[in-house]
Amino acid sequence: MNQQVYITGMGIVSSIGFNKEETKASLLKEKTGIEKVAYLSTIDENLLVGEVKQSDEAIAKSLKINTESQLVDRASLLGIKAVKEALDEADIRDEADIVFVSGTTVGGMSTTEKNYSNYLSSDDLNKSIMTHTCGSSSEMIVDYFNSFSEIYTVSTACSSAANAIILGTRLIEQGKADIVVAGGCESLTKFHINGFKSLMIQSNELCRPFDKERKGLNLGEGAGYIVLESDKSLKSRKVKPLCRVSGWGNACDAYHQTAMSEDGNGPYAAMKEALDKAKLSEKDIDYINLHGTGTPNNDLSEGIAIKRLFSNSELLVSSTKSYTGHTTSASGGIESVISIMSLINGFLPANLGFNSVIEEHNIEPIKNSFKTVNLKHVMCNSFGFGGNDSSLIFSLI
Amino acid sequence: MEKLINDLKEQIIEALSLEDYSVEEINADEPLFGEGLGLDSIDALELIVLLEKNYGIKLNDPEKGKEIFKSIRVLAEYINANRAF
Amino acid sequence: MKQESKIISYTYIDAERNIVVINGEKVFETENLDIKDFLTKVYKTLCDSYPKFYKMDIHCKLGYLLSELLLESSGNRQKGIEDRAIAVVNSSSSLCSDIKHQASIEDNGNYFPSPANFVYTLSNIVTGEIAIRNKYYGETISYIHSSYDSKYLKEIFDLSMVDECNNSILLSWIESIDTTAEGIMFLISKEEGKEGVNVSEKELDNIWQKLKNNK
Repeated sequence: MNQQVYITGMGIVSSIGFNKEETKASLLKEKTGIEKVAYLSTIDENLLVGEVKQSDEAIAKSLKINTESQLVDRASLLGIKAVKEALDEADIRDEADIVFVSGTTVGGMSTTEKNYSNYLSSDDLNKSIMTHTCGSSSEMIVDYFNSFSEIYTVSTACSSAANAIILGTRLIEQGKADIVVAGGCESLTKFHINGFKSLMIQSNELCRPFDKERKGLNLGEGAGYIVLESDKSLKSRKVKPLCRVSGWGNACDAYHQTAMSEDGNGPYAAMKEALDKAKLSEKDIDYINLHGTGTPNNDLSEGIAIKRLFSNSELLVSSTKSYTGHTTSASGGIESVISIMSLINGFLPANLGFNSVIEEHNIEPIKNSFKTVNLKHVMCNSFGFGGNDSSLIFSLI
Repeated sequence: MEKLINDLKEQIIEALSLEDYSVEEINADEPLFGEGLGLDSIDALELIVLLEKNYGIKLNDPEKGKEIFKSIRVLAEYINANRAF
Repeated sequence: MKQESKIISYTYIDAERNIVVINGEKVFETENLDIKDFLTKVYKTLCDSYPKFYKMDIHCKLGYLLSELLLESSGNRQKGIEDRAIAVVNSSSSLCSDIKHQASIEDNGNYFPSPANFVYTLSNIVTGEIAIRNKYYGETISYIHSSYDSKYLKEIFDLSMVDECNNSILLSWIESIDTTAEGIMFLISKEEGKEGVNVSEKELDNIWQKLKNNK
């Protein structure tokens, strides 16, 4: 018998806020967090990024972490901040045996690149690997808390956090765990900024997801985590759930390493699987938080996949990457938290930068944010390189 | 021109890891993309890097590549007209 | 109809030791080739032509070869299916590509990051390559874990296979760093009529121990 999977807490950090309250306020004010780079040291002064507006030192200080005695990279600091908010909301203090499932790709690269030239001269590769590997970033987060007994680190590029949530959901569903914290964190690094630059999909203007004239994405950083919990645990802890995870799907586009197929087969299959799992019809979905990166390729394929699957002309969609930038591995976590906040608080964020529809699919995203709206089921899309496509559905109880 | 075409063939084999091909086997007039060498969008981006690295030509719009990368001869002509060094 | 999941077949490559093993049997061996040359030799000797192979980094080549040998030798390629998952575990991700990419952006006077190389810095790209090659449209997932760990492999196997969407899985541990490149891939299926040994933590450990001790 499959268990229901409930959500009891969530935490979020991104360029539009250090917590849920600030994030919601920015979304409703339709205020983007994408600005000229200020915290990352780079020669490209005009680079537009969704940076978390605090230095490593300031974030560390707010978490009472001594950066002189402890080596903690930026991605882990952001992760700790979001996990802490999620655990606080779920009122988890002394519980042990919690499973941590985290998605990251760049891992501790921010630390590695700061010291890169020193590593080369000292020929000390091992040291760089210490914070470099993606796994170490999860371990640093776990070390900060006393609650986690098991760690899974998922690394599937931009869908990492969404897949972490899928795996966490399965752990609860199958009765293998009672409480799971799942999501992802990522910090901006020159490493992947330059990588995306070489792929020529970064825009030097503010990104315009789902707009006909879109020119590419802006990168961002942050963390988003949710607390997943079994019914048994809810009862024993006497806590009320916020909502539940009702559907999830992961499929492979099997087309190209970085480009999506023209028909959006992978995204279509992932969304379809999520609907089937939730035993919902396409008409039941009230809102989709799009992957919507703002690249010509993604927004075309994702839109076509949506058009193929959804007949509902009232369907509301928006990409919140126009606020946070594309937070790569963290995006599935950040956007799941935004989707859940929308669902339980009854609001919907506008899709910034949109003017005219992409003719091939004619999808018009939300132009003005809804301050109040009734929602029952929301979907959150997350697609990654390697054709790794995931879709999640969150439902009111 | 023929020297440039030959150089380009060598550089393309190297940059795109076309280890099954020799300079002789690549026809300068055949389409680079689609059938033939089996190149894809990432290869097109690699060619843009190659243009900048070896000839000082900067392409900011990947769409532009579509015209220039029609064949090695077209590419060579473009390089001759635009090269910085 | 479904049955208990069985290990149908497995492949193992240790590029440093220059050996290829299929189902416990050494099927190919050379001497003194560096890992890149060895992997190319395996490709040329044992695999069908797939020119994209040359574009892959070491990590991806290793995973690709494991999958090709596994699917071909077991006669279970089944192109174009949706119910076969691909799950890969590694520790150092694609460190060789990471170092190359970092070097290409470090020097302003010589700034030429390669898009192809950047793509291979993503440790899940190998799952995409295998899916593209075989047109597998199902689940793909990549994990980071410190070492070959049969308990962990069994856990992530369960996590994928509990889903009714998945009837078989390519489960793999791939690790490449500096001069080593070693990996194992299992084809495990719960489809009726498939023969093999039942999957268990113990079995996954036994197989690995035998491969490691067989020097």
